[in-house]
Amino acid sequence: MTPFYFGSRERRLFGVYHPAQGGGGSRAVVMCYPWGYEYVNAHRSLVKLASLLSQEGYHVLRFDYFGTGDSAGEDHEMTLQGSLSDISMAIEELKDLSGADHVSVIGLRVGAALAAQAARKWPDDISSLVLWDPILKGAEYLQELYLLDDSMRIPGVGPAAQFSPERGGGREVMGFPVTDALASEFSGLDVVSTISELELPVFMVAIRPVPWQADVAHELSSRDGSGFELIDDQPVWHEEWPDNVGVIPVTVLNRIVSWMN
Amino acid sequence: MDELTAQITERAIKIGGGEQVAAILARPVEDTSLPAIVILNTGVAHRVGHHRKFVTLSRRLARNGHIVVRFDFPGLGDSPVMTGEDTLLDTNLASIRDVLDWMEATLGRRRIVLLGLCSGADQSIIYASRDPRVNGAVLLDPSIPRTRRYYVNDLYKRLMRRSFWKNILSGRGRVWNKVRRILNRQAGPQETLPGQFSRPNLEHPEAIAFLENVYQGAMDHDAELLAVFTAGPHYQHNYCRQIIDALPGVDFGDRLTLYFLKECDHTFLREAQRERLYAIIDDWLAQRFPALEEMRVDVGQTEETDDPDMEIEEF
Repeated sequence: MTPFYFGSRERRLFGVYHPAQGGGGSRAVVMCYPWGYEYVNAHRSLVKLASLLSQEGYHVLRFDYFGTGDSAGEDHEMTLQGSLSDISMAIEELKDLSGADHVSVIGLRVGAALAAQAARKWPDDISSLVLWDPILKGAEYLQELYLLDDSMRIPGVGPAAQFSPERGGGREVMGFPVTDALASEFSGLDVVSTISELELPVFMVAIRPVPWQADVAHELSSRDGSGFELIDDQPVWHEEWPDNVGVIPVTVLNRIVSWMN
Repeated sequence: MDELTAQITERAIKIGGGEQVAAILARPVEDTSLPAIVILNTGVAHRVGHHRKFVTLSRRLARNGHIVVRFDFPGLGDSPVMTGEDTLLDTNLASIRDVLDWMEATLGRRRIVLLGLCSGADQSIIYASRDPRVNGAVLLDPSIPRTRRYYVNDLYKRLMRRSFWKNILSGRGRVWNKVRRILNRQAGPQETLPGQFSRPNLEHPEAIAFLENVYQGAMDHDAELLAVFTAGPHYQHNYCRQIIDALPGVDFGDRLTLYFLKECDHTFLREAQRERLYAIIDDWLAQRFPALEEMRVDVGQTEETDDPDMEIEEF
């Protein structure tokens, strides 16, 4: 794998390219990370998924959105609109690196929601979509985040800070700022309706039942080449320390790879 | 050009004979003689760190004139798994050496400060005892043995808690769990229950001797140490001077600076906590590692603080 920076001088993005092993063909996958503390927890599993896909002959690019991970930008500068444009840059970068005409996109949690939006926006670039435990309704997700943070019982952790308007407003959640702009964007996420507008093959995998999942499952099951599966495995984006630290959800990863193949 | 790019540069690099170590090099636009900083992984989290704190810290230190490398041990983050016979610890220590060799060969740097949290702190001090290029170490919640004073503090805190008495009366909690473990010990090895984890017995004489050896080794290389303890691992430490009481065989001289942050968790989850940590590191670096052309400042002073959440000791 090759770590590198790409993008523009104003928007430098950190990515890791996994070339297709055995020379590979023109199959390529862009991976979209989740947000905030979920990104930190899930990173290890997404690296593993990229390695598995690379071994299967896919060119893979995983990258950090602006304002996240090793990419440029401050935490409070991360927005979903900006991240969507970062996905577009990543797709172009991977097409250049691999020679592929189009790519598949795999997203986890908020990354899955962004992947679905990207597929609607750039249908000529994206040939298939894997949504791994996607955030189906952003307003619910936002409330879950606030509740999770407010109910933390960790020694030494005080109440969440509220940020000034100069910092984008909002409050911190699990170590990251949810600015007013980001909160508004989260609230507007509606992957259920986005999926209904997509015409490409979509595979959705989830480890636990959530509201609206049945609607999406029904929608995807009725389409050729698409599908939905509920798989009993670990929530890699949520650390239940010490029980699932570093655990790789092997069943989910293998199923994603087999669906891609 | 964004504000960051105007002040520092960041580059993705691969280090080691097999390019097995993925790292990010952050450099100030203008080189200084300040020591370079190397940041290690925490547990299995990749080099970005919990809450992205090592990215923020790297950039802040680079803006202050330090060259900073944050990297992943083999098998973590973006570094591939190494195959071989070496233990995990030996593999990681070899990776630190690879990074320092690269910094010396490529950047001409021989003054290095290691920085790590938890396992990263433990590996920092072990490595520091073996390589005189390590001039300093920032140890965030390093593993130290519990002492008599620790147990007294711990008991006092428990007795003051209402939940302790509720658990005693209802047959729940740690005390009763311990009683049950003792009673069941004859039945064979115990299974680890959800929420429990095994910890090394740092109070064993061999563990204490090992820790005294590595801390003294770092001291013998004239390394400066900044140790910051938080309220997170309350099961292991609970007062500022515990490291000194726990390792009586180490002569820290005037080169140990201690902080105990009572209102702070293990990963520095809140931004305000992280800002406080960054300021502590900035101050320590400025005091203990002035640019080579500057005079060394006085050491051996005790600093007073008005902050009730913080204890500071400098020796």
